[in-house]
Amino acid sequence: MNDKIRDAFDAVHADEALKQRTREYLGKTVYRRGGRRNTALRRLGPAMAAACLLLALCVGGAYLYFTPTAFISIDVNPSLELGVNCFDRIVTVEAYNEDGQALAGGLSVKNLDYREALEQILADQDVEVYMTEGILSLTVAGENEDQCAEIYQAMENCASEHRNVRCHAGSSDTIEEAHSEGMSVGKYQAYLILLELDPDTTVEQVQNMSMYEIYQLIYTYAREQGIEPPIGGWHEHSGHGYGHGDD
Amino acid sequence: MRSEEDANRAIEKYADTVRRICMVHLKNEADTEDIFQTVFLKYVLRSAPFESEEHEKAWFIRVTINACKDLLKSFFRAQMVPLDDWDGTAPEPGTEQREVLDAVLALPPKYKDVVYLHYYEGYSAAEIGRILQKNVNSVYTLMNRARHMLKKTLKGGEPD
Repeated sequence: MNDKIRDAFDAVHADEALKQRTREYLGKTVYRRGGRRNTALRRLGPAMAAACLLLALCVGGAYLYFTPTAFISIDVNPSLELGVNCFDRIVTVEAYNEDGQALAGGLSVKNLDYREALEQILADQDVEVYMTEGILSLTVAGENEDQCAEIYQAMENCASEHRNVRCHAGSSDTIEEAHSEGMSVGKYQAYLILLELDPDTTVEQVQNMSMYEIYQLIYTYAREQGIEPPIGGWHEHSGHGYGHGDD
Repeated sequence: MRSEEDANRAIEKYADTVRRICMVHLKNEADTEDIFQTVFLKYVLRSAPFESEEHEKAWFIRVTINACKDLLKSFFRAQMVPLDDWDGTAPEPGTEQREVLDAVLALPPKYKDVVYLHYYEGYSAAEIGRILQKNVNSVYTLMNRARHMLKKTLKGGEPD
């Protein structure tokens, strides 16, 4: 029995390939054989991971910073729009007509907090001239309702110090439509109101009108149809009296 | 940590022993390779010196048996033990050696180590007790029962 069992186990050997794989495993795992590059990579690994993380944070941060989350549309005759990021900074200034371009050219509001930007714009001499002769409409629209509510409040505070400024909260759904039509959100909202009252109104007609002219039409059509002018959400602070039916 | 030369010497010297113990416990080549890596890595990382060659060999046997048992304790391993064919390093089917080996491997697990250590490695019951951390009397009992079972299976040869 002893001999038989010994003979049986004697016939069992570890083959050369298994031994070689074990040597290679130890060489790789313990002795880093032929692994200068691997060692360097291993040492650089954490630094590379940190660099990648930093890059991702920078890219992500830059994306966050430069992406507007809300738009403040400023429409008198000049029509322009400020893009506000999630940090409440102005990151884009887009003009939608020639007067708007002229106004935007004289402003330096990028990277400013939107409150400062609004004060600066409303204090601008050219804008003051427009406000004495017409209506300045401020419209906020964006996906983030909380941010829009804060901006709306700030707009109203700012507007209370000026004549003929109306504030309005626009719908975030209309931002894309407005931009594709080449209009600011504020003016596009006014166009939609006018379109309800007069289905023949075209985008081109409205694009060439000042806000004063658009409101005048809205008010006229509403009176003709015997209804309240559907601009109740607009708050008059002084001046022409649109929305109060005493024009 | 031991040198690479020392590791290669140990692989040459103990690979067959580790392989035989793996065969007693395991049923596929992938597990055997895992055990080889585990055992020889432990050897390389072991800094304490061995008192003698016998001490070193007993260490390899104990560590290999424990590694096999640890592997078999794993839930997944316990659920999947395909009876892969052994490669060319085991006795050919149909030979007497294969018949004996099959009889040993067919024993319940608790007997196989004792049979291997006693009949092949030539350890006494007391030495087996130290390696397997079992009471000597338990080892005797296991040896006797294994002997009877093998005798019955192989139908020949007077056991020791």
